[in-house]
Amino acid sequence: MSLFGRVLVLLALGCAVFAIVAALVSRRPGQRVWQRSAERAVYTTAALMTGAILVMIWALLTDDFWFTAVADYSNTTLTWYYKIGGLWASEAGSLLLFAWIVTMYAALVTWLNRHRQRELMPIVVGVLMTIVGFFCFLLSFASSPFNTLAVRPTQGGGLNPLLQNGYMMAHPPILYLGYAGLSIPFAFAIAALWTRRLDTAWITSIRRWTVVAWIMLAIGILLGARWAYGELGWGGYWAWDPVENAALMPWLVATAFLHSIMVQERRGMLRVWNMVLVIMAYSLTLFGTFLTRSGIVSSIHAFGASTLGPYFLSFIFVLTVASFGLLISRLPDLRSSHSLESFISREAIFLYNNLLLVGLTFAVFWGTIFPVVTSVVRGSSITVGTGYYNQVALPIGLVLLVLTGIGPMVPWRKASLRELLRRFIAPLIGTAIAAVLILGFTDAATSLWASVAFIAAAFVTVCIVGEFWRGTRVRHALGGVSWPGALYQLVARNRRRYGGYVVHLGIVVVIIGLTGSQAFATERDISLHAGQSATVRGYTFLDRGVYQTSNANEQDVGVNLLELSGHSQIGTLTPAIGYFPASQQRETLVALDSTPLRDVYVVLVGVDSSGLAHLSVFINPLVSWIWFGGAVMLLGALLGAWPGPRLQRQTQEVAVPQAVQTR
Amino acid sequence: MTIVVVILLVLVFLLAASVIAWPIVRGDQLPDEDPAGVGNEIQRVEEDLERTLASIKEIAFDHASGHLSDEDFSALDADERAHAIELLREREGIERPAPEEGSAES
Repeated sequence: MSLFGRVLVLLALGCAVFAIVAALVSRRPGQRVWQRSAERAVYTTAALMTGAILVMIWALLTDDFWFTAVADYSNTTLTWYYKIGGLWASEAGSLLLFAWIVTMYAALVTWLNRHRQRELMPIVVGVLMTIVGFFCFLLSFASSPFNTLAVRPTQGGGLNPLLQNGYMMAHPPILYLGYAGLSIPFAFAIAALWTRRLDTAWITSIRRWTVVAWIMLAIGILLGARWAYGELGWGGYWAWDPVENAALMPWLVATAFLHSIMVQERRGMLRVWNMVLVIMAYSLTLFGTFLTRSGIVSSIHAFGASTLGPYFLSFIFVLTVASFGLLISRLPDLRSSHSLESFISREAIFLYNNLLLVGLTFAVFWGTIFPVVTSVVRGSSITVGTGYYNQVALPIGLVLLVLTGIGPMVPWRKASLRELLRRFIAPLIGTAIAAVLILGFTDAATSLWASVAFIAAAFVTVCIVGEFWRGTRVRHALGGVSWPGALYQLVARNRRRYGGYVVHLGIVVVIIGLTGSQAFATERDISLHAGQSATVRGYTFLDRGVYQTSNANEQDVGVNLLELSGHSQIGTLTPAIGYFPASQQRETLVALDSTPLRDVYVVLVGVDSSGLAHLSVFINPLVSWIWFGGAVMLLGALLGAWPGPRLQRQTQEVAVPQAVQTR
Repeated sequence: MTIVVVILLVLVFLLAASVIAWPIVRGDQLPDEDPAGVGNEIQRVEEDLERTLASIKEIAFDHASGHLSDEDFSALDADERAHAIELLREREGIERPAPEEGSAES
């Protein structure tokens, strides 16, 4: 079976190389048939990689411990879905998953554009197959999931208990959908540069792909944070870990890109900048993949030291240099048709937004590679702490939040100050009322940053709600439709705009959750014998005694805690420590009582021989808002990416002079 | 078992090679259906027209909802409509090329 998988990947490599050659040949006059062949090579590559990944999954499900990856990351006691999860527990397996996702994207893009974009598609295919070829090369010669052992063990090492978690089943595949998805806009950008088809058509082709990749990255990041929150037992969800940053950076740049393409579409501006953003986003994607596999940074997410670092570094270098070289050669063709007319305009707001996002990306990048730089320069590594990141991210994040509210309210081209003041009177009044409520009836006033964040969130919410109200009023005024109908029509006919507003609302909700949980969290360590109790911030925990459980896979030691608020029992918590004999690893089993207003989060640190239980108790306000905000963002992205009415209907809806249409 | 795997791989290879090479082996001489790039041009014009029409709608909506002053609305709307007319004419010109001289008289 391993031979079968190995050869499938080799064949996929061969098909990818052929696809590149065939696609380039098809650009010659009279050689279009080679484009058909190239397309078939793309589909065949996808089929072969699907076969390869199925071989691996079969090996995992059937406990085929001849495979090194299966022996290291699976065992017979795991449930079937955790066995599949063993695929991305190993470096080689996760590489296979990544490569497979790229080939599936390539096949889908090729199929959807088989009758379109005839000038661009040969280059798009060439670029995507180059990326696929690189990964297939690694899988074939540098890090194969199909390596076998000389002696077959009777039992595997088992999956890291930290990875035996529902969130970890979803987080890597979804994150890879985001990473790999950014190869599509990159490929189209290179194709547009190569063919000099630098009008806005290539942007139209990739906007939805970029939205999909962007939302996959966002959901992947949030799932990772949720996993960390529930599994790692430190009460938090984001530690500015290098691998966390590696996912955040391309997401920040993709966010900037999604905004700046609107400026190019509407005003023909920022054409060079958009190319830079696309190249940067994909380079950062590869950089993140490199970070996770090179072993140059210490991270709970990293695979550890491997031989892949030099390969990735070389590929990133060649790809980035070649892309920017091509861009520089096309600069004369990328001159904008318009220029910025006013620093108070929607174009300007989007530009400020972009500069802040890219600035934040750079700051995060610098903090991430700082240990490597100091290691090379000084001989010893200096790690950047969370304080650095928070000092940078906090003010930038707040300004971005405010711009989120301002941007949609400012017209294109220019706006007078008087006009702006007129527009913002209502939102400012609404924000002032909200500020009084926030400062007067919550603890927000005890923290300056939290106050600013909550008030900014209120401002953005009022602005967005105002946009929905204004639009619904206009639609209703056209007559013949009820208010709910007007709202429905408003959103249905302007999916991109209002989907974007829903995403912004989701981000507001996330920011509220981040602010509440960061600024007002309480942590206390308590130690209890059976029958004893302790109170943390109004919550009393009564120790009902230690318990032990065991099954084929794990043995747990835990504490039964009654949770009381005042004198009323509100729940039972059972924090525990799990021991996994197969892998000889321990895991913290967090006890979590979650409501929209707060999480009560209890971790068992240990139980001594006298039965004294040592516990860490966290009261984390508003954490649930973070996960809920992610769901709202997903909804908004789906709405914004949904296809709208086609050209014929739009022509009918717009009163273009009849004489021109009927001539 | 290994023999079976090898045979299977050979079959997979032959199938893959056949699928990929078929258009070339069959000798498909696909005419450059579009030697002048007409299809590409029509597609470019139609996509540009789609964007322009969407912009016209959006500008009208922005004006109705109070985001654009009358002056800015007039200017932007006129720009975009002029561009749309240009594109419609261009599309027509591509779809119905001008007749050759003398052919209409015979």
